[in-house]
Amino acid sequence: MAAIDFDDISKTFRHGIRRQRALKGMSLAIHRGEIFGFLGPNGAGKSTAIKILLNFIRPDSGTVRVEGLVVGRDRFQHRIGYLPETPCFYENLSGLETLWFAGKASGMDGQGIKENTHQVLSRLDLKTAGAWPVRTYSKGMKQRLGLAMALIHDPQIYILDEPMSGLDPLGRRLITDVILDLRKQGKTVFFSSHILSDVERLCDRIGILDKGELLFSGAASEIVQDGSSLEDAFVRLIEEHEKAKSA
Amino acid sequence: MHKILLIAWVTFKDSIRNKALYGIFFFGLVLFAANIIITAMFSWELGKVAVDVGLSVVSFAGLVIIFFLSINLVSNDLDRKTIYLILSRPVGKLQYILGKYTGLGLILLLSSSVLGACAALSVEMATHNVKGYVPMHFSWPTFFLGLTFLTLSLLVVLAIALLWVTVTTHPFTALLLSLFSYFIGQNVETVKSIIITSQMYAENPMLTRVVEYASWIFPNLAAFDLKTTAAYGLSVDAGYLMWVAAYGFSYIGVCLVMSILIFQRRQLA
Repeated sequence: MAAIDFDDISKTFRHGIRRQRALKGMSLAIHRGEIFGFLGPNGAGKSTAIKILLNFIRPDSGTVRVEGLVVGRDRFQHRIGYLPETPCFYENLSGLETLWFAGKASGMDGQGIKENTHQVLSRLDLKTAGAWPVRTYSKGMKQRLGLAMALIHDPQIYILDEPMSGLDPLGRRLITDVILDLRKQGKTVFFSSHILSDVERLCDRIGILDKGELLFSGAASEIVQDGSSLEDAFVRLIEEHEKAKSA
Repeated sequence: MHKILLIAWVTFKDSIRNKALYGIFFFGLVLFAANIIITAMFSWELGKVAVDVGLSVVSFAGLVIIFFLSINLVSNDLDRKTIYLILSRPVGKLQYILGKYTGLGLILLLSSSVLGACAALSVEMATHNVKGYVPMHFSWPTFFLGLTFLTLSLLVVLAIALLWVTVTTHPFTALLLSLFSYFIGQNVETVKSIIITSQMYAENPMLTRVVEYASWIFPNLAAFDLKTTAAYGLSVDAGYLMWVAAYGFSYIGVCLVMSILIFQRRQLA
């Protein structure tokens, strides 16, 4: 059974009388224990796919399953940890209170939350800042707190939307190390990113999406030609798709 | 239930540390000081004026909390996607709505308790040396009964505001619709009785019907207003009070059920 399974997902948004097709029959399976990079230019439909996966929006057709549980019908949220692209918090709470809330909402008991909070804050270099109100955090600290919220209940599957977005090199290194740790623990990580060097280094497999269509899914080495980089391969694939569409 | 209380806790804690709330409380306290000065300008019915101003300030502060703090807080959850961090966990939309309402309702209860106590103090101070100008039957239990029903009316307005936030996509629209509902709710019963009793509108059944429908849709907020009763210490019919309380809680229930049903269908893009 796949950890995450998108089965023929289509989604169209309406803006007044205008219709915008965001996903066209996307099928994609993410295996257990793999790190999967979800790539695509802006507006490709990555965020839409993630929102459908998290049941924030409903697909027009198709089914998404998380460890066999049907999204929109079954309760699956306790199996996942999610980091949004720009995490927003209740700014007047402290980091510790935020994590306590996240743990409780995920069904943890007080003792478990206490132990995991200590561990997660140390891992993400937020131990000193734990007692501070979130409104005093920098962007990088907020990003790390968002990741701490995803980690607190130790789920099997992680969905990270642009986890390196807006981070300095140290922050990026920290998040990269956390993702590699998760791989060692046999967790599944599904993340979208624009930073292709990180994707190339971290991912077992990648998926490339453009204008709602999945152009490629497999190991990065399958599309990278000799001597070129993933970035070259990505640009080539997108350009070929655009040409084919306009022809 | 546990998740509802959790959302309520986080809402309450975030709101109670909001600087805007301190501003509202400070403004309320200034108005109570003003109550003592305003009352001193009157040479008759001092007790009535003091109670009217005191309870009006509690009501005003509650409305400011609803229209400017509560609507903003819930809209921010939706606009800034704070809600993603909640709904990506095993928390349903039903629990979210009920938790938000409970948390914001607790803020209103706190506001009414603190400012209600200040109102009582300002009434006592304003009338301390002029006992002869205080209505004969004035009693504190009736005063606090007035405060309780005022708070219930604020809880009704909060439920309406939450409903409009779930229906609309912009906080300003939700604010306008909430204000609109509040003003209709305050005046619909008066307008209805004028139209029904006045000969002027007798030949306009359309208008009568519109007002009749409005009185069914919008809450009769005037029914919760016991300021005059509190000021004069008038006797109140227990049956009437029970009916008003049941009406208030039912209206809140209907608003919350509608908010949940609408929110369940809403896509959080």
